[in-house]
Amino acid sequence: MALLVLAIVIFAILSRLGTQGSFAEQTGILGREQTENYVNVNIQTVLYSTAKGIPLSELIGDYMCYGDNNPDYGTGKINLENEIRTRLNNYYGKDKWILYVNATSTTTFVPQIVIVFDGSGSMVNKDFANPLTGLTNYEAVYAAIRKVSPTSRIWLMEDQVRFGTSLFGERPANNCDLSNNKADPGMPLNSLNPNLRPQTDESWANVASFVAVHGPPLDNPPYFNGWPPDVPKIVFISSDERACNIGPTIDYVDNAIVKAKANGVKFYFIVPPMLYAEPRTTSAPNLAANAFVYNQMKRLSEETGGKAVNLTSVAELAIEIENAARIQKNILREFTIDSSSFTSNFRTPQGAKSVLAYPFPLPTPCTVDIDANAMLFIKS
Amino acid sequence: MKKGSLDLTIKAMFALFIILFVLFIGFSVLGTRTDTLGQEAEFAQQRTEQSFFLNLLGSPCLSVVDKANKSVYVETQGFLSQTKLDRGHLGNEDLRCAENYNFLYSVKVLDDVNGKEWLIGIMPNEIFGNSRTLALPSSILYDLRNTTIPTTNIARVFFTRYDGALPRLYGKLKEVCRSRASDSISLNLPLTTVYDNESNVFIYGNTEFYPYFGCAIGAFNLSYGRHLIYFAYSNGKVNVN
Repeated sequence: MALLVLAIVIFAILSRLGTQGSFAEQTGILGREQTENYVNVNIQTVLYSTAKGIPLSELIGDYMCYGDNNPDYGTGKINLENEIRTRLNNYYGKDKWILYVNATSTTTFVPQIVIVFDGSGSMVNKDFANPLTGLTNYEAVYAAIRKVSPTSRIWLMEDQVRFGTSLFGERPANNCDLSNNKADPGMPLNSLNPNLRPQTDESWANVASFVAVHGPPLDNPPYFNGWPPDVPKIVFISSDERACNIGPTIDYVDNAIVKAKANGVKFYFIVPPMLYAEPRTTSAPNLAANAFVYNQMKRLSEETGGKAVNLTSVAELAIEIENAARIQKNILREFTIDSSSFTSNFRTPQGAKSVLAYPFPLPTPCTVDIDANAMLFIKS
Repeated sequence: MKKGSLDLTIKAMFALFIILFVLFIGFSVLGTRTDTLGQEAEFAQQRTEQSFFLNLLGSPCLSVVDKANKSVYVETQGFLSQTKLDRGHLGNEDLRCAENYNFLYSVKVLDDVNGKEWLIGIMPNEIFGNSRTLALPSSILYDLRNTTIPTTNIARVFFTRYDGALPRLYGKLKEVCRSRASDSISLNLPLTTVYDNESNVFIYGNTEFYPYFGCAIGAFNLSYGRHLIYFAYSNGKVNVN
């Protein structure tokens, strides 16, 4: 009997406690629902509100697109931070909220590219026969690169620090070691004619091969440090001669192709409008020699997945470089704002017993595709 | 007293105690259950009010209409039209685009930037019954014809709902109109309630407002006190008996 009474008492107490617990839980749920409704309506409507005629959504969108948090639309400057703070302080109270906004846009651009260039006279000096409207080959290539990748540099093959010195225990990159005993057919060996001697500043195949293996040249030692992840594995080459001036062009090209393929590198040969492949008996071009060299330039490019590009104008070369080297990159812009600070990164709410987070999308008026998202944190 | 009769008395008292105790526990559990049901009803009522308020903020009475596509127009929830607010201000008229059968309500809109205030729907008055006020944020689009700068200010909307005898009577009338089915309720009216169908005025004690019904309603006059009210629907009209 005593046990029965005890059981009934325990049941009654638990029943009462359960009711109270349920009431507290329901109150909590209802409170959260009300807060959620409040924020939902708020984030829909507050974006319409204007400052000097400009909706808040547009102010945020402009900042995400163009980074201007103090824009002037012709009616005076509008401070984005003040506008956001005024509104959210009004609705949630000072220090009771944090707004985080981020936008990711995809942009296409040409990153750092690698150009190795024959710095011999015919490439860098004025040539009245050159049809590039008064520009030297070097100037034309330089101008084209400035158009699409302004920070990229042109590396001359005669560079004694990077290409003329033994690095990593290897022969200098611009070596012409085979030239004296294995020159191209028809090339006199050890000629007294300076035009028919090996010339390291025209060692385009060997330099390209070295860069394919060791990556882009650097300003400081060790001068080569592999291929960085953000640089496309492409080497642009330009020369108007046989490799090393006298060859052996085929051997050098064969070697460069093997190295390029082994390292996943493509060669693009920028072929100048005028080729001066030796041997020439007059100042007039040797058409047969030019055809041979052009074919080797083409072979070097195409067998590595690249292309021989004829240098016809700055604009067209720029397009070719862009087509070859452009990449897509996601750019993230973000900011976090609360009642007292504005930072260009993500911050989490601090010093609150509990935080409710409400994600919502934002319209952005950029000319490029951009997805902007926001997260409003309400502290309690 | 003999020992046998003493034992019997003790046993009888103990049995009585047990019966009383079980009854007490039984009523306690029953009371708890009643409390729970009451709480559930209260929470459901509050959710209904929230939901209705949200719908009201997206109704054509208050909000800016936007063209969703070639033929569909939609209102943006909480994006209020100053023109519509001006039109409804101090109208003391039950809003026809947001009907409710459970309570009477009035709406106050406050512009947080310039302090302007609008009273929409029936005028707030505690005489209508128990009140509860909810608030939600919003924005007001100003239709300033003589300026080129479009202005939208942040604002807050206060929704006050009243329940009690009058809201029940009024809600039932609206419901019968819509359902087209006669019905009845039992009410204890604290004040005399009159409906003048010629001028469409609802009078409650010394207070009056303009009601909105979905059908014709016959004039009636109910004195204060307890009533069993019959709403007879016939041929598009409700008569109150």
